[in-house]
Amino acid sequence: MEMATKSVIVGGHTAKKPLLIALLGGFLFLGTLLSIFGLTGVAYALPLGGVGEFTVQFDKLNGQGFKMYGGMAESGETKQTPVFVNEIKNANIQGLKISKDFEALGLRVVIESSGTVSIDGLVQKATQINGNISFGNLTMKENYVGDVQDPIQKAAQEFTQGADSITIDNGNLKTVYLFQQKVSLPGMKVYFEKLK
Amino acid sequence: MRRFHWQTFRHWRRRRPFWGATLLLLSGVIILWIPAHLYEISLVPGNAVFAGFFLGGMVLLMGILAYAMPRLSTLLGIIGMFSAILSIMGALGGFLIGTILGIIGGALCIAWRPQWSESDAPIAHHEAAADKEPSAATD
Repeated sequence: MEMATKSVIVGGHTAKKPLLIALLGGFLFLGTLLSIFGLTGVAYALPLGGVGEFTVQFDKLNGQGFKMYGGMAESGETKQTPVFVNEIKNANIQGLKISKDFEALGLRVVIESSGTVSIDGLVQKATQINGNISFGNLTMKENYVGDVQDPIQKAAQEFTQGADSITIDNGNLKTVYLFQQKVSLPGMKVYFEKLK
Repeated sequence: MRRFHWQTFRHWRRRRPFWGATLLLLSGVIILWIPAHLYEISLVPGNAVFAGFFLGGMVLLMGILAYAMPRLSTLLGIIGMFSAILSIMGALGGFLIGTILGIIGGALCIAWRPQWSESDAPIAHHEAAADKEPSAATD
């Protein structure tokens, strides 16, 4: 006759050797993954926002699949600021420089890339756009939004602008939010400057 | 009464990889914070942020399951740790803090060894039976 006995857990302990092996394996895997990103300079789903307004400057931007509409976003000073939302499917940027002033600390953080930055899936919310801009197949459209209740949806749908291609020379954008699905930053440099 | 609750909690805690599961849970919440703030974009399937939601959710789930199924702590720890590291893509690993907590939590779950006892036998007699799987005794 066979009789099964029910085993229950009455306690437990952490074994040191497997713990060390697991920790070592985990950090080694993380290090490998980070070094692959570091070597190729590729980052995925990189958001930059919630730090208030920052400045994006570049010498030249070439983009495909451009779309612009109105929206609202958080900034350092106000909860809701009216913004332009720019979406670009693929973009190549030369001479990119992103900077943010921290006046309380008297510091400016600068992120610079010496090579050509390529971005997939760029979403950017700007309060001001300056530069020499040219479009290919530009469409501007005003849509009926009388039946839309949500003011943010209303702003997004009322006026839309789209273009197959966009080129901006000497761009200077006051930005509150930046998101890239995939970005490669060759020759990236991060440094701090003292504010005058 | 309070002491009784505390003792019940300590007894419950001893029988599962408590700290490992708690760190995994915390890691999952931190990793999910980024895609939750990018929800407008992340609901599009196939998007990298969607992967962030998935991986952050996996870490959170492994933490909860490690409380409920301590027998599977090694497997849950491995999946939790792996998901936390991969979340670097899509959720930035909760600004790396989530990933590091996930690695430590996962390692604690992997290294946790339960002590078994047959339900109707005295505990002290079976304390030496640690690291053994549930047994089937023959008569």
